[in-house]
Amino acid sequence: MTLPDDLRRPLNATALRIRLQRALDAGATLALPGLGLAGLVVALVKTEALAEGAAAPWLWAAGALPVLGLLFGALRPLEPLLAAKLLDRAHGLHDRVSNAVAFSREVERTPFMEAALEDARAHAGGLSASRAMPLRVPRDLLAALGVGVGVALLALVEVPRVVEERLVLSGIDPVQLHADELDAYESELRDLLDSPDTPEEVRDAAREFNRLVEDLADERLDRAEALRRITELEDRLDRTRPADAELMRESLEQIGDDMRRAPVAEELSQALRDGDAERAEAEMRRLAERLRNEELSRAEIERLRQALQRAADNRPEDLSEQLQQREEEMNRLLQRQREQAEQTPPERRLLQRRRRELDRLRREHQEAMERRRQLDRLQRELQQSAESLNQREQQQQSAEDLERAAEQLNRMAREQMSEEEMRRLQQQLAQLREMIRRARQQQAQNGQGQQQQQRGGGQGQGRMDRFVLRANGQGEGMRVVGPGQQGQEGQQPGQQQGQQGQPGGGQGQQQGGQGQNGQGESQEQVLRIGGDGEPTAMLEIPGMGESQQGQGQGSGQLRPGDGAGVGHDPTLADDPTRMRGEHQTVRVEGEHGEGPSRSQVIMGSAQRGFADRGYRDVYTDYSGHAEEVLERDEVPPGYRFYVRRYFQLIRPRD
Amino acid sequence: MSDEDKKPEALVRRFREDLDRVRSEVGKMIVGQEEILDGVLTCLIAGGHALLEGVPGLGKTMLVRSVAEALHLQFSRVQFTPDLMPSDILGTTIIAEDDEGHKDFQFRPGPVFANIVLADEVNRATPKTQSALLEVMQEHSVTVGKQTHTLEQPYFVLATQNPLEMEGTYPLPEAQLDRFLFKLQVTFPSRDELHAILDRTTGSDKPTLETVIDGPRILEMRSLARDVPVARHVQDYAIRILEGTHPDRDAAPDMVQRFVRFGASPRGAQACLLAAKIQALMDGRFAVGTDDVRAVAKPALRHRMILNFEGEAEGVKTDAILDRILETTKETSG
Repeated sequence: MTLPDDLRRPLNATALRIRLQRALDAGATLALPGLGLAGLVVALVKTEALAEGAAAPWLWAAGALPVLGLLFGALRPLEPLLAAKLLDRAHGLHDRVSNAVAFSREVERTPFMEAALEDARAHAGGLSASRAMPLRVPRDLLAALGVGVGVALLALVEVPRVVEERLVLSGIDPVQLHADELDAYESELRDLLDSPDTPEEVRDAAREFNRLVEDLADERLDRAEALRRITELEDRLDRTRPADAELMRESLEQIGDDMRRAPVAEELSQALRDGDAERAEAEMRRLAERLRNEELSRAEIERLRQALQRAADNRPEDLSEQLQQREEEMNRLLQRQREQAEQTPPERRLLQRRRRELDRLRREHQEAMERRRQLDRLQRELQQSAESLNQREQQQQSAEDLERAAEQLNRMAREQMSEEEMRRLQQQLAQLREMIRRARQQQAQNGQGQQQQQRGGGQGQGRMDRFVLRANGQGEGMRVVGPGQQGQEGQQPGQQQGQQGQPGGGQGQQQGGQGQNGQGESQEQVLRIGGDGEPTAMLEIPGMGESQQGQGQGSGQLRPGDGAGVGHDPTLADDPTRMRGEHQTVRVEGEHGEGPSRSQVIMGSAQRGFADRGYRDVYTDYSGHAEEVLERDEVPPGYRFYVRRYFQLIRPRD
Repeated sequence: MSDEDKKPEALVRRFREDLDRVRSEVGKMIVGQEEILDGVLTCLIAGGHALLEGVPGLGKTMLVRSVAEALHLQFSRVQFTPDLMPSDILGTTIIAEDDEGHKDFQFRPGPVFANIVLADEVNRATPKTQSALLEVMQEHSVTVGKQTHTLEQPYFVLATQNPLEMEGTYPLPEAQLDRFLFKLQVTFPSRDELHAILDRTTGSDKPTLETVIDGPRILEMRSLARDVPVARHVQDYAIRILEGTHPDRDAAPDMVQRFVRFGASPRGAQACLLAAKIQALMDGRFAVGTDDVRAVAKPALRHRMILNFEGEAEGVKTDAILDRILETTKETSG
């Protein structure tokens, strides 16, 4: 016999009330720490110690605590017979109900048990769950309410915000770069700094580079100081960078060519020809292992021996003599210059440059000698291995020689890696230099427009934040504005006078009889990326625009300019952005107002956010490929900057 | 007996009626002391023995005598003194001569050969005599020479002891105390009860008691009590109370850990449950509840706990310790 319904109903009702009471108690208890956490987060946000965006998860966690308490209290297992005991106690039944519940679970029941069940059933009529388990106000509810009111009051309190003012040092005109751009540089070097394999000198240089970027972000550097520090850092990298890496690579290629004749060493040969010392080391160890295990036939060993012998014999010519000649020549030049009584400032600068060049040559020579020694050691090991193979029954010895050669390759691979990192750092420095140069150019060109841009800096950052929000799926979607929305700003005559001249390429206008102020007509196309019809990021692509912005002033006969002229921005002297100098750079900017075409709103995938992981993978693939192409193909340096800048702008963000 | 009479409901009803009649008869002689009377009846039905503790003149002997009369059982009383020998209570063998002049050894039973034995002031006898009595209580038989004499059932010993005059007494050892199912403490009567006592005992009327039940009926009731089921949670409660008397158990309250040297033996739990069954029947219920266990815990356990020196020095009562144990022991184990 199962428990009669007369008993089951009040039991279930009592159990439900117990769970409800427990849920309320636990919810109120956990609401206290939840509200405490919420109060802490609100206080941190008020004092700006925590960003509003970062506060949301904490507030969610605070809100989840009482809910968890409710769930825990409601779902916590009840003690067996608790409801029955409460009913017994409340109604003075002397365990009639709890005994009935216990006996109903018995498989075999005695007559007394049956009688006890009947007895309990007879008393079930007056059972009341509310009497057995009266609901009461949770213990911690009042305290929770008090804390809740406190948190609400705290949220209403307005804390005066401390407006962070940028540190502007008096007397300098700081370089102003967008924080997002600088952040890109920092994040580029983060993995390099984090990697334990990074050599200490590279790590030091990277730290110095980061300090430079921080100073630029804090606007503590003017343009001259920034460029000076970049130059200093480049010099430092030049000093530490292995000078004759190319020589090393060529030597390895030569050895690889020689090894190609042995079919068993095909993989090794290929790795050497690729200049990949790390892979070559692995292949050489594999070859040594095969030799040790006597897996090679007699013919294969013979061919391997010949290849090793050839690789050992074929040594590149010694460069020391050549270097010595250059050093003597440099010394003669320096001597001649010292003998001159009076030196003009340009001559003095030339002398200093020569001295530096000589120092560099000496350093390169020393490093070349070190590389030479490394190569010698490698070839010596190959030679010994070949000799061991020549003597029959000496395969084990030959394998050991090959192992030692692999060790040598390992050392080379490590240096190769270090060189790679330094090259990457130098690339970053070059980009930064270009960025500073362009910032200056932009500043000069836009004049007043730049001031507006400064004023709207916060607005620009806000737009960037909105973009990131959209990318995270919190925005309303991405709006792509058609190019015609803003129309064209029209021409800005005369503002670029004397600044955009390009040697050999510009169409100069000679002004009056002076004939000096060549005026270039630059053509640039400005590609704007952003929403709401306002630019967020700007890419200038030279020589691809169609409309003219600058027009010369003055009169004079029109003829093609034969030089850059003077008076232009000196930073343009090393401008690498032109392609063979046979183009015109025209700058085009949009014009506010009703354009001929309508804006087009495309609600794209950003409505639900980008697929972050997928995007990161795609980005890595594409940027890596672009980098390879930039290294491999002949791409004008200026275009390289644009390509890298483009990938910098679209990089995945955390 | 018809089938209807064999049903638990009928059996329990009859049990209650019989007990009520006994109570009613004894109530003619004894004023108040209902709790003591219930305790004595519980011990009698359970087949155990009771130790009554109280000052002289509270009606202990009268109560036992009245119960014996109401139950139609043979009653004997032994006044324990220091010179009382075991043979004085057990009986002895004497030389008897028959009509033909033949002489033979014959066993002359002592006062223990009765259904209800009142061992008055049992702590005044020497341990040797106490042991003889306690062996009878346990074995329900007397061995003299090579002959064993079985005692008639029901057999019930009710020992009394005076807590005041301890000079020249031999307090019962703990092992022997353990053989008593209950230790009942006879309290001084209230003013109303005293009035009633004086009214009854100083007048010329002397009430006479009727026999309401006999020995076989007592044995039936004993058998019935053993049929009462105990749910697992109730039994668990009794065990946890027992564990609470042991200072080395986690369940023991601080007071136990501080003042108790040894806790109650498993006989304590047996006494609790058996007495609780009778308690349930007295209340007309068919199963034991935790209330029943709680009601009998003190008389069943108070004499089974041994206090340590500190407890003795502080004059701690075992009842206070048991109150604390009952207070801290939860009715459900969850």
